Amino acid sequence: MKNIMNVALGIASSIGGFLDVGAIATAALAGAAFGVQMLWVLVLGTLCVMFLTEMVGRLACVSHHSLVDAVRERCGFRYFSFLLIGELFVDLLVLAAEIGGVAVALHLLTGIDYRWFVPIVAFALWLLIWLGTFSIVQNGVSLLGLITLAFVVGMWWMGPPWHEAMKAMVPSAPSHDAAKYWFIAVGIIGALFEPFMLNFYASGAIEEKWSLKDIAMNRVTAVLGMGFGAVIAVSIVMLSALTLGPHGIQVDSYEQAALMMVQPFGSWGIPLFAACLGIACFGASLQVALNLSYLFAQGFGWNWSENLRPHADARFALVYTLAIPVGAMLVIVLGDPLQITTFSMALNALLAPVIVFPLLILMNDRYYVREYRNHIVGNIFVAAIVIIAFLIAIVAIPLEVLGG
Amino acid sequence: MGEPLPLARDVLDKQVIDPDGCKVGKVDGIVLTLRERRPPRVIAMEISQAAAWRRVHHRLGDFADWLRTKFEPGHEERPPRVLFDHFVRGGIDVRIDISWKRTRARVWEVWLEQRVIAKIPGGRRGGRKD
Repeated sequence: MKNIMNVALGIASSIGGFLDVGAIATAALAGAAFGVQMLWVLVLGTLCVMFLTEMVGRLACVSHHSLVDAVRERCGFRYFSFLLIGELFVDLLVLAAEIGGVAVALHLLTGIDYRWFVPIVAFALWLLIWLGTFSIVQNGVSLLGLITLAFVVGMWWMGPPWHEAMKAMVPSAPSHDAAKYWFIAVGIIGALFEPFMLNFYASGAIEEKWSLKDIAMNRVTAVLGMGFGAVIAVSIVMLSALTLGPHGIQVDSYEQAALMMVQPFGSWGIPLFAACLGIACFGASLQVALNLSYLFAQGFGWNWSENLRPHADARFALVYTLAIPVGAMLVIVLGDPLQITTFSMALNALLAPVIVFPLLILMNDRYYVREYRNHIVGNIFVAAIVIIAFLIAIVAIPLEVLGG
Repeated sequence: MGEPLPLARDVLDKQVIDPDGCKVGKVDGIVLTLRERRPPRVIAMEISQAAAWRRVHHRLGDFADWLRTKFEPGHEERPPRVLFDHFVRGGIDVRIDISWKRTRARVWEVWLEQRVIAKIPGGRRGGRKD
């Protein structure tokens, strides 16, 4: 019974972890601009992230090392230094996007300019990490994220176009706005492959002392958690396609994205969207901020655990204490949280190979994972998707930036 | 002759753990001493940002070392080292037989605990939260 509860909790928190500002924004953009045509990107990316999540969990179960820890040890400091700088830059942008998402949610509820909420959100975030334990961060907030099931309810209410959705499972090129299409595709993949999520998952497995007996639970959690998370993301694409696309509403801001909930839920639509966005982003911002601490502490071999009081792992505590105000400042300086989100998600796709290829090396290294090595199908599938996403990102990001 | 020890595989960049299971740092560098007409001998493991960054570029190493000598509590000449006499075993972690308290590897951790973290409300007590 306890095992079933653990798996259920793991799945629920994976759904919460899966759906963050990036997943909501890119799914809403895709649905409004291209209808259900981009569902194949979401499905392919989800399959890939299921493999990746299972791998990092297995690595933690067998070697008791997180992803960053093992990459530093296996690939050396020189390689790690590139990963450190890349992930620091991207994670700070993602943290800014998540804090911005919470602030925009509060703006949707109150009408007050979102910038006023940024310092309050940042302080609440820091306080929860400073005082809370790992299970509060991981399970408590993520369970609240189940409110995002409202997107699924909204989609059912509107009557989803199943026939078109099934046809959209086959990869297809756009008939218009090719640069935008591929930029959003890269954003969707980037939102799924967030490097912070992989290392956070592995670090969580170590915080919760997973071992060989948890390998099966890890597999179930990775597949069902990411699978259910994808169902919600698919619902957002469909809902956006059904409600925003037909009215010619292009998602240029979160206010426009929120309109997708008005048709199914009436006057409750905007507050419900705000609650989904705010809770999902708050949960994700906790994970990103903590992951920055994990990144430094594991890479440099410091003491680390969210379950230790800050006095017992001072450098670990210092990193999130500095990262959160920097993330908050980025929201205020850069402005427009939606643009920060889409841009940082595309950068995630660029960074993905830097973290995924060492992972594949580790998952085939007898030294780390003993007889629990990867199957060749997993290796080829993950490598192929990551390379394709990286190549598309190299082409699509400059095109979209130059095209405004 | 004992078992050969592949230093680059089993020691360099590995997590150093003391007898109490505390994380001391990563092995950022390995120090050898040259001896006349005899093979070099491994004498210590360096646990130092300067040693690590020097492996990326010598200027980065020099800069990290300048920062260390300028700002590190105690202003020691040499970066923190653990003598190889304390090496117990390598692998995916390196085990040593002395406590971190007898090394200078966590000098910044201690300084931060006392000078920064302890001054923030809730930062005085150690141990676990749960």
